[in-house]
Formats: sequence, structure tokens, C-alpha cells
Amino acid sequence: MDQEKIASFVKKIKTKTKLILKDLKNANLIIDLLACAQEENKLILCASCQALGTVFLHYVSAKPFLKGDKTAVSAEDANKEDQVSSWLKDQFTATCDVLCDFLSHESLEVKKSSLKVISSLLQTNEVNSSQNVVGILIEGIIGQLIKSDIDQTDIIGEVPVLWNATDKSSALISLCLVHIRKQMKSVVQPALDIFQRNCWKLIKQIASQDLDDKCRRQLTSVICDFLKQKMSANLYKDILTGISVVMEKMSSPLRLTDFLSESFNIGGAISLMSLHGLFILMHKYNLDYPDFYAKLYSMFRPQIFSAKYRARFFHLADTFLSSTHLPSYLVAAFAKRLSRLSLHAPASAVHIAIPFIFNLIARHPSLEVMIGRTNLPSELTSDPYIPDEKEPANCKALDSCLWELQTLEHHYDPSISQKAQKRKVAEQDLSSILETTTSDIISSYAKKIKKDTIPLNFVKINGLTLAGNFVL
Amino acid sequence: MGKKGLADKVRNKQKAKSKQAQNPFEVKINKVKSSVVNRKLQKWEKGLPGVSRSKAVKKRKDTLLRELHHMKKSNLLHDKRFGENDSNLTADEKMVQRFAMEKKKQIRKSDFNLNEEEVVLTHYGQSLAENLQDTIGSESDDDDASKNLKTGDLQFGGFTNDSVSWKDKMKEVIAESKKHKFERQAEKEKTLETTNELDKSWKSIVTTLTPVRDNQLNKGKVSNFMQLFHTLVMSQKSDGATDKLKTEEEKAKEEIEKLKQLEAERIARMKGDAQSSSKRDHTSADDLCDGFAVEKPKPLVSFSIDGANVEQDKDESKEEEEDSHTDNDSDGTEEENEDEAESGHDSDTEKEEDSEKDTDNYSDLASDTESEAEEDGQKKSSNVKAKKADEKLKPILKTPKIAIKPGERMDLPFIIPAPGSLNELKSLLHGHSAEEQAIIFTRLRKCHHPSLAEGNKEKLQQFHVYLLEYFGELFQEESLDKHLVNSVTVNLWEMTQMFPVSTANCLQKIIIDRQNLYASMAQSKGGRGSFVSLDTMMYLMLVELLFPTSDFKHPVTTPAIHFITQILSPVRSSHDVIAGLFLSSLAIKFVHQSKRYIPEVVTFLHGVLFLAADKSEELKVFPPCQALGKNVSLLKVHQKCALALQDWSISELLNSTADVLNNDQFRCQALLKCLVLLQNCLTLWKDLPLLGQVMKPVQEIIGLLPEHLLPQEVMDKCESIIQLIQASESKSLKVMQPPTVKPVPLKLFEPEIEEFWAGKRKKKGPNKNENEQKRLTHKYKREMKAAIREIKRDNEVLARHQLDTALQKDADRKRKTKTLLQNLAAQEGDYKAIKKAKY
Repeated sequence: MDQEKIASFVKKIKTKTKLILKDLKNANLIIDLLACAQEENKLILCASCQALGTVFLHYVSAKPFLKGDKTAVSAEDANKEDQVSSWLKDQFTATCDVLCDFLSHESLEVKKSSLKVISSLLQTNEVNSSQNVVGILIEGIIGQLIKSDIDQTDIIGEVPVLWNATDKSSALISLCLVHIRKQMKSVVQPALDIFQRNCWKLIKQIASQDLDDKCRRQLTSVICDFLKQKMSANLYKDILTGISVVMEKMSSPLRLTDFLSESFNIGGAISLMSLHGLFILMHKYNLDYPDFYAKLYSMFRPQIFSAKYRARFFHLADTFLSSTHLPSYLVAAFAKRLSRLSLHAPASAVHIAIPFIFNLIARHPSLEVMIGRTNLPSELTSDPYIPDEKEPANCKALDSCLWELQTLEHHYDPSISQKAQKRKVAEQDLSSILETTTSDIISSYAKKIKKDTIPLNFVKINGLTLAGNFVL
Repeated sequence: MGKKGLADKVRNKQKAKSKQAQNPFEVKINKVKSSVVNRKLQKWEKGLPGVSRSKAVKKRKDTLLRELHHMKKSNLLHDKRFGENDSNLTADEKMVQRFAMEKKKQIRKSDFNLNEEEVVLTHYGQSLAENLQDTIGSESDDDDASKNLKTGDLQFGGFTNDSVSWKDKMKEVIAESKKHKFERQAEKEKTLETTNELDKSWKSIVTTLTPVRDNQLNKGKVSNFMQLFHTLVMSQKSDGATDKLKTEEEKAKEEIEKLKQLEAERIARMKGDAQSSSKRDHTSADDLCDGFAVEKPKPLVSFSIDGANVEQDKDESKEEEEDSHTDNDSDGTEEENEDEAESGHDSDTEKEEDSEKDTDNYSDLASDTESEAEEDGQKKSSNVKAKKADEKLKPILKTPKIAIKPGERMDLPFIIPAPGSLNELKSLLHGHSAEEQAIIFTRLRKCHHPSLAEGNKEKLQQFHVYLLEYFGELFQEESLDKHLVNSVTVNLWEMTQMFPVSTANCLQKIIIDRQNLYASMAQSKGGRGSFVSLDTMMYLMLVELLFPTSDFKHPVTTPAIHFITQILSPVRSSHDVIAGLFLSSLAIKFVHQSKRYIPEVVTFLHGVLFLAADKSEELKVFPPCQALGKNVSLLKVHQKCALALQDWSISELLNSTADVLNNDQFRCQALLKCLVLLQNCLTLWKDLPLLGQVMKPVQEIIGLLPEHLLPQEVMDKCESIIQLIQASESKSLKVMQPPTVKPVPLKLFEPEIEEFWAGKRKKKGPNKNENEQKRLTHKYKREMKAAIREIKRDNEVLARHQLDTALQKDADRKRKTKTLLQNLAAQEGDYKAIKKAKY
């Protein structure tokens, strides 16, 4: 269809809407509008969507078409009005279905406009306290939003429109949660990845709202049900990154303990990411997690330096170890282990590791024996530290010294060398250096040369001689 | 006696006065806090309060009371009598003075007093009265007219009857000035004429003189001696005499000194931190805080290694120096020997010339075509020497020498325009062999030497930049011309000495660009990049050659080593192994002087060994290397083979296909190379604490190599490495000591020591304004106090005066009443007496 035709079509829809609004007798045109809603073009769809919305808004708010007996004078009239109102009721349910179907349309515009119309309908319906309609609508919406075959994440972002405008948002949200739970139960296990994604997105969206106690309780149960499902690794990581936000809105976050401790035990990136959730539970909700630091200790492996979540890991580890009430043997074990690791780490990681170690020392002055010892014999035959020991309490880190810093003093990177030489530094904020990449480091050294001279090689060369056992 | 009376009087009076003040009863001595024995009483320690008070009272009486008296009086009497207010004069003196003044006044005559003296009227300096008497006396009737006239002239003539009129006089004056003017002009003309004449004569003399000189020169050209003389003169002009006098040993010594100094500077830069910390005490305002403050600017042009020119800036002078040397030895054989020695040396240094037919001629070419040509000439005929001096002055003029050149290079132009872009440079070099290109480079550099013309420096700088780019492109071609690469590298090195900053900037930019490219590529591939192309590696190699890699911080080498370590990523193919091993060796070369630690090299070499190890046990690998993947056993040897350590040609190996490299020979080679590098590392870092711990994974993985399949050489290497590791492990560790802190001394007040004690403490404020402010406040306070005191005293005096007057009045009144009463009583008594008497 070309542009003009569409325009004329849209115009026709508008005139029909006006006619319907003018007189009840033209109500039959609603069927035309519904027919229009089956068209292909998204502009027409949007227009018909809005038209249906305005029509039923008008009926619902201005003319009490659903309660026939008030205006009837004679029985015959009453009968007629009953007929009209029941017919309108049918049309309204049809419209609701159509609008909900629109939510899974491929075009975002159509989705948005239908969501808008639905939200306005919900508002007026609430005023008239016809809960039944609201229930149907919400069910339809949720059913469409967490479909198993379409990625609905884009429209889920717009969902808050539904309850933002009304004052009874909490009732709506709880209704939503009920339906989500219903949906999840009805879906065949194992659920599809898309369904889970949609679900999670919707839950997150709801969790970002202000909730009352009832909703919180509902949310908690929904989340717990949701987390019991099996899911893909990517979604798992996604959930772990977002869990801290959701956790705050739950009535009893401790119910996440199982989930988090399980994921902590999985190892690798997932255990790294569950750290934050666990830490919140321990920190704010008094979770007793006995082996946390031992497990954290075991996570200090060479892989942390190259992992994608390096910055996140160091940030979290710094927060975990920021308490000054930790036993010094534990912190010493961490410091020693990290310095050991930095012997084989790329330069960009050492840039983070050294300030990290110094932060530990700054927070726990008892660790200063590791960089300056006076009581023991001045020479040791070997490092007393046991690198393969799993338990930080038994690794004898406090008996050792941080010779690694002496080695790193000879690191090829000048700033690492300088950092390692300083030994005692005040505690500093790591967040500025956590994201350091090799490119950043290189560009920090490669400043424009402004001086007149620059050191050169003074030994004359005879040609391109290659290093080692290589020739051109 | 009488004559010196006044001075005596004054003196005596003063003496008397001082004596008067010495009345011991009037002196009051202030109490002092601490008495010093044998010290004279200072002026401010004693005073005469009574005297000064009475003085003050007296003064007030003279001034204040007088004012009081005159308070309500409209008239004022000024006493202008001489000496009335002067207390120094005695009454007698006053009188005498007054009398003298009076006398003087009388003596001064009045202008209008006619009686006092007669005024003599004169005419023509003679008294009129006498003349008049004469004329009156000798009056006769004879010659009336003449006499009348005479008397008339005498009496009333004056100037009126002058013979020369005013007009005439003026005419005369005008004529005289005109005459003067004319005379001056004439004189001027005359001098001009004479100078011209002189010039003419001089010119004529000069023309007669010149042929004589020419003849002399012509004669000189023929004679050998004169020619030598002239060359000597020329060389002396161009070259400092001091340089010439230096012997070879002295020069060598100087060079060694320079080398030593440069090496010392390099080591200082290498330590970097130590020096910077020691020099941090003073930071200049211009300091950029970039850690470069410690570097001394390197003397760029003061350094050369051998006779060949190293510094382009000194190129010309060096050449001349050389020439002067050859000229100085008049002995022909010696000259030739030297030439040969030189050329032999050069042929050592410039390998690319080795293959040429007549080494003697071309060996110098890369460094200096011109001097080479001259040496050519020298051999042909000694006469060319004479030309040389001229040529020295105009190095561009080379056209006559084309004939001398052998045929091969005939087609190369001598003056080559500087290329405006990389493409121009490429088209310029296109189709030429490596040797020819080398010649083109040298000629380009000669033609556009900065000392020759303005703007040449920029041109040459541009050329340098293009050459840098050209260097990279050399490695992108399929067949690599090693001679060309070498000559380009040498040229680059030499020009880097000329333009260090622009080279550094350019090379830095190239490295950063490559690094960005690499980083973006690695990002797109999920954090792991593939190894870089050959030209990038060669650029990194070039960095190592051009710039000191041992510096603690260097704007070019530090990014370069970072880039190298970034590239050292997991191996995917045999090519990656080659490139990685090459880059590892390059990285080790970067730090071989500074002995800095590179963890990435260790992890990479560990990863390479991992590829060859037996994977039956579970092994740890350091990131970014991976323990899983299809290439995990890339270097695993399948069959035993023999090999010897041989050099890898990196360009050939990187261009060969993967199948060629898929054999045990290659694997063993790679393994051996890796082990050699590890051994280098171990020896390089043997002083690092915990090196045993660093190398422990390596030791473990060496134990997992399939021993039975490896050749003996590899196994030997393994053995030695393990020994080295064990040795470093068994080394005892020095316990880290806390940094020794100087005991902090108690805080004491330091005595303020003033070198020049002026007797009183200076009240110094922080600045001039405040000082002035303080001084003024102090002064104001003092003045205020004094004023208040004075006013008090004034009031005291006034009150006393009032009281005195009141008492006086009272007393007077009482006295008067008393007299009145007395009179009345007397009167009464008299009256009563009379009354008694009546009765």
C-alpha cells in the first residue's frame, strides 16, 4: 500500500471513531474498526488501536454500557439495552484480545501504542471497579509479554506505563506477579531461554518499582520459583549481575542463599559474579557463610587477571577485604597470594594488583612485618609461604615477606616499578585504576615529545641485526 | 688678643654652660636593671629634671603666657629692635650693633639729596662745564659761522651728524655676508675637485697594479709549493687550528671519553628512579613532572665513532678535517695507506657494499659519496687536490665529476629533488637495485643538507619520515632485499641522529597506530589477538636499534615494550610460534642492559613449552594461554630427529605455508629456541629474588617433555635450565627490612644569629608595607602621648598663672583696703585730736 492510501485509511478510521462517539447508533462501526485491526500496515494498526481505545474509553467512562437497568424505562427498552450492552461487552473483550495480541507484534511502535491504550483502559476500569476486566487485561498482557517464542525485552522496558499513571499501582503489580507465577507454572519444563529472559526482564522491571510488603512477598516467591528453573549460562550471568538490585526489593533475601551458594560453588566466572550477592547477604542480612574467605582465597588464580570480569572481581575483593576486623593471617594470605600471582601477570593487571596489596597493608598494619621484619634471622633459605595450601590459615603467609615486590621493582613498566618501590602508601580508591587496559598504559607513556632532544642510541649500527637466533 | 676675642668668647661661653649643667645636685640618674662595671654613664641614663622643667616653664611663660596676655587684644606689638629676641647677645653688644646699624643708615645717601654732591655733566667724556667755560671764555667775532657750527657740534651734535648713513651701513653689512658666503662655497668646490682628482689618480694606479698580482697568481698555480700553500691556507680558514694539531691518539682518547660520558648518561637514565628521587629535591617551575627532568640533553653533534661521518651536521667540517689530514702528510705513500685503511674499515661497517666489484671505491659511498669521489681523484692525479679546495666551498657543484664515475652509476642524477610524498619516494626508487637506492639516499641527504639552503632541514625531515614509512613497506613485499633493508636502516639511524624528536614522534605514532589496530582486532576476536605482521615486528626492532631501550622511561621504547608484551598471546599456529619467539627474543633484547623483569615473556615461553609437553597430567597454564583447544599439541614431537641450532630467517619462515612447518624438525628447533630464550632470561634475571618461584612452572613443564623423542641438544638445554632454576631456588632470601628511618630530632628553637649586630633588634615585619605601617603607628602613638603631655603641662602653667594673678589681686586689694583704713583711722585720729584740741 502506498503512502496516500494509508493516509486515507487512517482518516477513515478517525471519521468512524468520531461517528461512533457521536451516537450509540453507529456502534456497529466498531466491527469495522476491529476488522481494520487485522491489517498489515503498522500505521493503520496504530490508528485502529488508538481508535478502539478512544471508543471504549468513551463507553466505559461516559456511558455505563455494562449496567443496563438504570436507564431503562420499559421492559422492552431494557431488553434492548441489555442486548446492546451484552453486544458491546463482547466487542470489548474482542478488543482486549486484539490489543493484547498487538503486544507481540513485531513493530515496537504498535506494541507501544497498544500498551498505552491498555494502560488508559486499565485506569478507567479501575475507577469503575470492574476487577474482572482488569484481571483479563493483565492476564493477557503478561501472557503476551513472557511468551516463549518472541524476545519481548524491548517492550518490557515500557511496562511501568501500566501502573505509573494510577494511584493503585501496588494492586496492579501484585496482580501482575500472580499472573507471572501462573504463567511460569503453566509453561512446560524445561522452559525456553527466551521465556526465561522475558520473565527475568519483567521481574527486574517490577523490582525497580517501589513495592509494598504484599508485593515484596509475592515478588520473593516468584523469584524463588523462577530461580529453581534450569537456565543457560548467559542468562545465569545476567541474573547474577542484576540480583543485587532485585535483592533489595525482596521481603526475605535470605531465600536466595541456596541459589547464590550453589552458583558460588560452580566456579569460574559464575562464582565470581555470585560474590556480590553473597556479600550483600552476609553484610546486610547476617548470613553466616563459614568458608567464604577460604573460597575467595581459592578464587585467586592466574585466570582472574585475564578474565572479562577482572575489574569487577578486584572491586569486590577490595570491598570484602576492606574490613579491619578480619584476622591478619587471612589478609596476609591474600596479600601474599596476589603478589605471587602478579609475578606472572600482564602489566595491566599488575597495575591493579600492587595498589590492592598496599591497600591491604594500609588497612592492616600488622601486615607490615611482611615488608619489613626485624625479629627473625635476616636470611631465609626458602620462602615459608605454601602456595598450594587451600586454607589461608595454614599457608604461613605472615611468616613470609613480600619479596615479590622486590622483583616487581625490576618490572619493565616504569610506573609499576615506582609503585612497587614505595612500600608504604596510604589507602587509595581503586575504582579509578580498575579499568586500566594496555592501551591506556601505552597512551599514557606515549606523550607528544615536546623537548628539543630525546635520548638516542649512540652506538653506530651496520644494518638491521635481529635479536636471538633470528635473521631477516 | 683682641682679634681672636669672638671665638674665645663663644668657646668659653659653651664651656661655662656645660659646667653649669654639671651641678651634681641637679643630676638624676636612672635606675638600671643590670649594671655593667667600668662603663661610662650613657647619655640616656641620666638627666637634669629640674633644669629641663624650669626651662620648659620659662619657655611657656615666654610663649603661652604672652599669648594669654594678648588674647583679647586686636593689636600686636612686634619688637623689631635688633637683638631683642636674641638671648646670646649681651646688652653691650646689642648696643654696639645697634649703633653700627644706625651709622650705616646715615651713611647711605639719598637719591634726592642734591646738596650732598655735585653731578658733573659730560659730553664726549669731557666735562661740560669746562667746555662751556672755554667756549664762553674764547668767544670772538672773527669766524662766527665756523665757531657757531663748532659749538653747535660740540653742544648738540652727538651721533646725528655721522657721515655714514644707516642705509649705507646696512648695505655694507649685506655685502660683507655675501662675500663670506661665496668664499665658503668656493672652498667647498675646491675640496671636491681635489678629491675627485685623487680618486682618478688612485684608479689609474690600481689598474696598473692588478696585472702584477694576476701574474703572481698564475705563476703560483704552476708551482707545487704554491698549490700546497694555498690548500693549507684554505684548510686553515675552514678548520680550527686546534683540531688539526691533535694527534690520532688524542682523538681516540677524546672519543673514548665521549663514549664513556654517553654510557654514564645511559646508565643514569636506566636507573631513572634513583636519580629522579635524588633530584626531586628541587623541581623547577617548568618541570613537567614526567620523569624526564633527569635527562641531560645529549650533545647531538659532538660524537662520532670513526673517521666516517656520523653526524650530518658536522659532515662538511669532518670531511675537511679528513682532507686536511691527508694533505698534511705530504708523503704520498702514507696518504694511500690511510686511504686504504679507511676504506677497509668502511667496508667492514657497510656490509651492503661488500659484494661490489671495486670495494675500494664504493666502500665509502654509503657514508660519503663526495669524499669517495675525491679519493678517486687523488689516485688519478695529485693535481686534483688543487680543485678540492674549491669544491669544498661549493659541494653542490659535482657535474665535472661525472666523467670519473664508472658507468654503472652514470644514469643517476646528482641533484635529486626531495620527494614530496611517500609515493614520490617510491617512484624515485622504483627499478633501482639496493646499491643504487643506497646511493640515492646518500645523494638526497647530501643535496638537501641543512647547511646548504634554507628549508632543506624541513625537506630532509620529510624525507626521513617517508623513509620510515618506506622501511615498513619493504617488509610487505614478497621477496625481501636484505641489502636494501640494511642500507635503509643505516640511513634511518644516521638521520635519527639529526632529527631525534621528529623521528621519535613519527615512530611513536606508528607504534601507537599499530597497537590501536591490534587492540581493536583483539577486541573483535574476544580478547585474544593474533600475532602481528612482519613489518610491525620490524618497526619494533627498529625502535630497539634507534632508541635506548635501557631507559627507565622513554616516550618511544616504553610503549614499544608494552606493545610487544601485549602481542605475546596464545599460540594458534606455527607462524604464531615463530613470531612469538622472535618477539620474546626482542623483548629480552630490550631489557638485556637494564635487566628489567618481563612476566609476559615467562608466561609465553611457558605456554610454548606447554604445547610440546605431555598432557597426560593436568597442567596449569597462565593466561592468556589456554589449556584447551585444537592447537594444544602443536609442538609435540612425534618422532626422534637430530638437529642443530640454526638461525631462523624470519621473513622466509613467516612466508612459508603451514605444511612446510608441520614437521618434527621445526618443532625441535622451536623448542630449542624457546629453551635458549629461557636460559637467557634466567641468566639475565639471576639477581631477582624469588626467581625460583617465578620459574617453577617452567621447571615442572620441562619435566613433562617427552624425553625419549627429543634430540640430545634439547635435553642438554633442559638440563642446564633446570640446574639454573635450582640454583636460583636454593639461593637464600634476605628478609625484607623496614626502611631505615633517621631518628627525628627534638624540635628546638634555633638561635637567631645575625651576622651584623647593629646594637638593637630590628623589628622586622613580613613585608615592607607592614613595616611602614608599624613604624607609623608607633610614631603616631608617641606623638600623641607627647602632645597630651604638653597640653597637660600647658594647662598646669595656665592654672598656676591664674592662681598667681588671683592671689596677687587679693593681696593688692587687702593692701589697698588696709591703707585706706589706715588713712581713715589717721583721719579720724586727727579729727579727734583737733576736736580735743578745740575743747
